[in-house]
Amino acid sequence: MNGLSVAYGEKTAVADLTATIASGELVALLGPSGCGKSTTLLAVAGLLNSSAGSVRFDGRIMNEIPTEQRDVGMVFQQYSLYPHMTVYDNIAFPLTMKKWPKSDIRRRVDELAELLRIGELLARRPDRLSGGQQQRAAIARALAKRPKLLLMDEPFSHLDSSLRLELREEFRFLQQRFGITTLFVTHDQEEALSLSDRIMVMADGRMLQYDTPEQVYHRPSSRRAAEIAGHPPMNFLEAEGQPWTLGARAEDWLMADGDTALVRGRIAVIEKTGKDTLLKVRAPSALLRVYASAEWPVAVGQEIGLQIRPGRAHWFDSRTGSRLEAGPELSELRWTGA
Amino acid sequence: MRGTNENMWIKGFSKPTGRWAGLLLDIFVCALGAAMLFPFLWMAAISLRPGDQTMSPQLLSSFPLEWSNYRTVWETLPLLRYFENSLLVMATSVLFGTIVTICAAFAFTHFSFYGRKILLAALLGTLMIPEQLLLIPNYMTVAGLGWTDRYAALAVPWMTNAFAVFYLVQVFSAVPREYRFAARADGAKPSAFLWKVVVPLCKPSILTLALLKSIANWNAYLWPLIVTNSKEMRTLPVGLLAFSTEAGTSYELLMAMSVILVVPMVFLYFIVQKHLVQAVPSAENLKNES
Repeated sequence: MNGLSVAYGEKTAVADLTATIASGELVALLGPSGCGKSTTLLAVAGLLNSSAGSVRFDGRIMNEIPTEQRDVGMVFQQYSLYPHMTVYDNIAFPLTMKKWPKSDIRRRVDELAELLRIGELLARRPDRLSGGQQQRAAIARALAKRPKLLLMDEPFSHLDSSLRLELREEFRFLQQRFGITTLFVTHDQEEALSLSDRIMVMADGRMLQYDTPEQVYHRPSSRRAAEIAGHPPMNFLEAEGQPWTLGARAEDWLMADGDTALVRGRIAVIEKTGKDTLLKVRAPSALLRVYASAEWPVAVGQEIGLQIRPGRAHWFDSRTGSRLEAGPELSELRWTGA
Repeated sequence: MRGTNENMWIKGFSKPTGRWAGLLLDIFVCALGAAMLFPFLWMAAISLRPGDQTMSPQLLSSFPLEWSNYRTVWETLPLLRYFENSLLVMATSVLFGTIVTICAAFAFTHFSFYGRKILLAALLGTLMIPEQLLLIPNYMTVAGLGWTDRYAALAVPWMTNAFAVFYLVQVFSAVPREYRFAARADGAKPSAFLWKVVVPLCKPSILTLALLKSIANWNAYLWPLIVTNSKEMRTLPVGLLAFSTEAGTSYELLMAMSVILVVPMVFLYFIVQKHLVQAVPSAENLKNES
């Protein structure tokens, strides 16, 4: 993608996006709803016309090539199978369109059905399948013609959580085994972080960061990117008259004594989520979300002093929101409110 | 939504659950059905009466029934020829008409082209023109083409109409865009997408349209009367004319002919009926089936 823009009438949905996906990579388009990630996906597929810029596959400019000839496979969140066809006919559809001989189609469909473990479901109609089975069949159909590029729009979002995890892992295994270059859209930061080789973080039609999950998580390029990737959302402390905003993720805090504490606050809520305990700490003009270690003696209403783990503080320009490489010495800061 | 009697209840209404409410509703439905059926029953009854008792207020005034009325009709008119004509005209007009309508509706919903909105509005505008107003211009066109007294004159002018196109435009726009996206990615050209995905998905609605068109075409009276001169080219409904002359109307024969006219449509309805009920909440069907 080179300077890709997509406009609807006056409104620009995606602006000036430039990125390269290496062959065999799994790339997540991550961002809040309405940020232009689906639009980007459709533009790559050729289903939406770009108003500027170009899309290249293997160096070849694809702008004028219709979707039918782009050699892409697509999976959607819902309506992903043709409801009037059996699973077999669905998977066979792209091959029928290519006028493959029947015996070759059968061989390919059987092979895919086995890989995606839907062998017994081939004669069924989509409405007789569970959500997970439907998505498996949809992935099989998208892979049937061995496309150059697989495009998926929230493929796992409709599934319940255990099924989602299972199918995600299986898909990752298949994707790596066959080296399927994949671009997928998700609003789920955990899915993006756990599944992909690289993440394209998007907001308001712009790409904020395009990097490995580690970099996106540990070195967010801007305050906005930090908000999008990571849950619970990063805590931010802004100080009046200072050029920086300080950010720290919920798991990057230590308990600290009066003198060394960066922030002092009162515990407002304690949320126990299995192995973790999440505290909401009311500090002057900020509500902090902090994961508590097991040994912290915590109770609602209790006062607590907190300090950021060494090396885990993020500094952002308070005006532009972009990442700053360094900030003031943490131990010399005392937070008293904005 | 297959083969259950939920199909019988229109979207937005659920079948009342209470025992008495259910019974009342059943009675209401039966009464309505009886009111609808009564004219047909009356028609059938008159067709079995002797000629001098057609105005009798009793349903069946005399026994035995006059089955001979049907023989008289059969002997008066070349019924087989009429039936052939009706069937041929209906089949070609419905078949080609449906195909043309599908193509037109698909063009309106799936392509953007210059003047699309204006054309659609113009098409809708023609809905406001009463059909009677079109009789003379259509006749002049057909006569100009030298089609009078030929099958083309009977079938071609009524192949498409604005309502059918408009209805299918609505149905086709309810098809989720994901199907189009997936089909294009799967390498389907627009024509393959139309015939392999859109048409099978919208089959109930298309069948409904075809049935309505069939009935309208089968019952058409005025147009065939105007464009045909010879007896060989007339259709069944025009045959009714034979029993209503200046010398008076033979109601018993007129009704017998009407029965002959109605029966094939009843059969046609029974054949496609099970596909029709599904057409009522068509967009909802799409959702449930995905």
